[in-house]
Amino acid sequence: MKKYGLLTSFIFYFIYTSSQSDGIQWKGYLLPDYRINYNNGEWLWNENRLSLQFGKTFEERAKITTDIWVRTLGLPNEQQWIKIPEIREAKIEIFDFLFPKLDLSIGKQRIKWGTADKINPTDNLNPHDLEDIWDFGRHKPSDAIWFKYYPSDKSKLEAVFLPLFQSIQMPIGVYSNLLMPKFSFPDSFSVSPKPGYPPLQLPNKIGIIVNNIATNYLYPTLNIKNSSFAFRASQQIFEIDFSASYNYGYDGIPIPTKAFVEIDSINFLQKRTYINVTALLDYPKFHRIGFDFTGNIKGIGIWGEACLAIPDKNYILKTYTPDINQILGFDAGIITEVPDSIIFEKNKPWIKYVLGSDYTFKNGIYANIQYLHGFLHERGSKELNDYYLIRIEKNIFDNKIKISPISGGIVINNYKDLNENYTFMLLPEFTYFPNGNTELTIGAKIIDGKGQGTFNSLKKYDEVFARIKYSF
Amino acid sequence: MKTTILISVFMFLAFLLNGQTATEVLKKMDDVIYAPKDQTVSIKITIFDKSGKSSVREAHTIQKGNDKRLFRFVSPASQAGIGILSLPNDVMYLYMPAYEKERRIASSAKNQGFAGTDFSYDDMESKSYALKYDAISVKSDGNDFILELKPKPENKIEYSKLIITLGKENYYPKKVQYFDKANNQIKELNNQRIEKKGNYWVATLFEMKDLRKGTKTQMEFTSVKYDSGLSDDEFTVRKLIQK
Repeated sequence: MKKYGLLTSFIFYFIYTSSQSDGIQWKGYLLPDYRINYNNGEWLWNENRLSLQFGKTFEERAKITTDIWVRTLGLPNEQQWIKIPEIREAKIEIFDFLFPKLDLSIGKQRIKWGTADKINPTDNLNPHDLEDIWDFGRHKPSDAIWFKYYPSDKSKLEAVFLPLFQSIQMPIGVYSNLLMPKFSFPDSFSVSPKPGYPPLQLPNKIGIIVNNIATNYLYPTLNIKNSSFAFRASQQIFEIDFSASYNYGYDGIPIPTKAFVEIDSINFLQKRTYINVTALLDYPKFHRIGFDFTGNIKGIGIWGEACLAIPDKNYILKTYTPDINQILGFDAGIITEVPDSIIFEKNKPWIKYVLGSDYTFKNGIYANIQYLHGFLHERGSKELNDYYLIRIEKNIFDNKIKISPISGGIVINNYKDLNENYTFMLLPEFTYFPNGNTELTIGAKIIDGKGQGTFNSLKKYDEVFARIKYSF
Repeated sequence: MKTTILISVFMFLAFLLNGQTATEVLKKMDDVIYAPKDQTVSIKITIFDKSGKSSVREAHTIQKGNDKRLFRFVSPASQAGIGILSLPNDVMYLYMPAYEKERRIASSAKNQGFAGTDFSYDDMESKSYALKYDAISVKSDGNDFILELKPKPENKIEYSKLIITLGKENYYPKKVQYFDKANNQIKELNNQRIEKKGNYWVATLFEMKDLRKGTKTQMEFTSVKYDSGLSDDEFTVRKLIQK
């Protein structure tokens, strides 16, 4: 805790001395954000964020940009407040690098690709930052070397090299288990009484209870072989902007590839076996081919985005079972085997996509609708759900107030059993702008549904929130 | 037939009275307003609400010809860096520093207030009046011309009619009255300080009143520079996101 205090003091000192220097500009914002579960009054989130941004432009030839977050974060299941001074961005951009219209950006940075609103299937270069599950589209900035070349005012070519692997930031607080890789036993396992005898298939529901699951992450080693790269070409044709992209690299969400099962205890009276599982979590690598467009047809904004993900190999979960003979204390000649589970297959790619549109009516009502196939964390063609999203906004009282009474969506997990597999989300917001630099937002998140969907599991955390942003 | 004859007689009389047709006056006005090849302007924007309470914003804008403009807020802090790039054929991009990438804006947003002001995107557009409107009539009123314009059928504009009062000595508009489809005046622009900067006439202080809402927005040019040879490269998405 003491070292965080020292680091924070150093950051403030550095900002102060920098601001005294010629040409260095600094700005930022303060964002207190409080959320409470309105079903039981439990605090769900309590964040105070100070963003300090400073930068300098060198005669339009180069620019330095930094963003540091100093935060306190209070969560219901944490014993103490977390204080995290964090460098969110630190990069230098060099314009007309080597030759005209070639720009280079080096450092910790955010590389945003895609045209859809907040949820972008092609925005895969920075790992998702799902710390706050409701802050859609937030990513962790990555160390990167990013070239941008503009052959004309309507076209752009980009190349990105990401030397280091970064994993996804998983949700925290009450949402911490929301996206954990699922581990489950197959429907049956085989037992051979003796080698050479035909195996006997036994259902796994014979009283096996998982006591504990331990996870070990197999992070890729930080070497050049494990770096990622990407390319993108953009062109405006008939006033519509098109882009095509390709990237090859690790996915930030791990998958279990090995599971070691140990018998913890056996209760003969209850006919139950208690086991412990140690799962090794690996990071898969994908080829991703992306495409997006955005434009304007008769005053209506339109956009679309798609990403084809192809695993670079077959990813399989192997389950290692304990030696029953050893447990019995004598060689009964019993061999148990759990069949391998295929997680991703090289020849079974999947496509995530989004289509959206927006329009501002003459009375000032802004409407934004999106259809999304496959949320940020969903992978594999069978895992992709459909999301129908809508947002209606209107500014009133001389733009002092913005109301968004209809905001949210419906998630469909299974059309064949619609009544049992859906999630409904209503996220109304009301924002007041008391002056040019301050915005106060209050709102709610109301969730209901049925089935196993990710968002349906959030329905016990219906919340009301208040957020104030003061920019300086 | 009678109507056509009457209109022709009226227009002929108007021509005799003023020596010029409405179309000629409109062309001269456009020639004066859009004479500079390019301009670089710093603006102080004061927005007054119904009760007269004001808030101030500052912006910097560059413009080339009458179809390329890059507008960027300098203050307040919450809006500093927000940029709007307007290009030909209704192509508009918005850049918000917090969002970190450009975004296309649907042209339906053009009927709305420009960045919280009483000017709409259409009002701020640098397209010449003659490209959007037909001159219907002109009459003389002392030292001024009173010019009536109606939108060209192919242009979807929220106004049904404009009445422009412009000085005979310089053809620069002093006042523009905007009417809705029901022929009610809904807005009024007053160019309060018209001066000659170098070779060009310009309003360096002007005010738009929204008569429906009772609000007004005042814009003051704190600096203006003409014909500095701005390149087309300055009006690209690359430049929009660079600053």
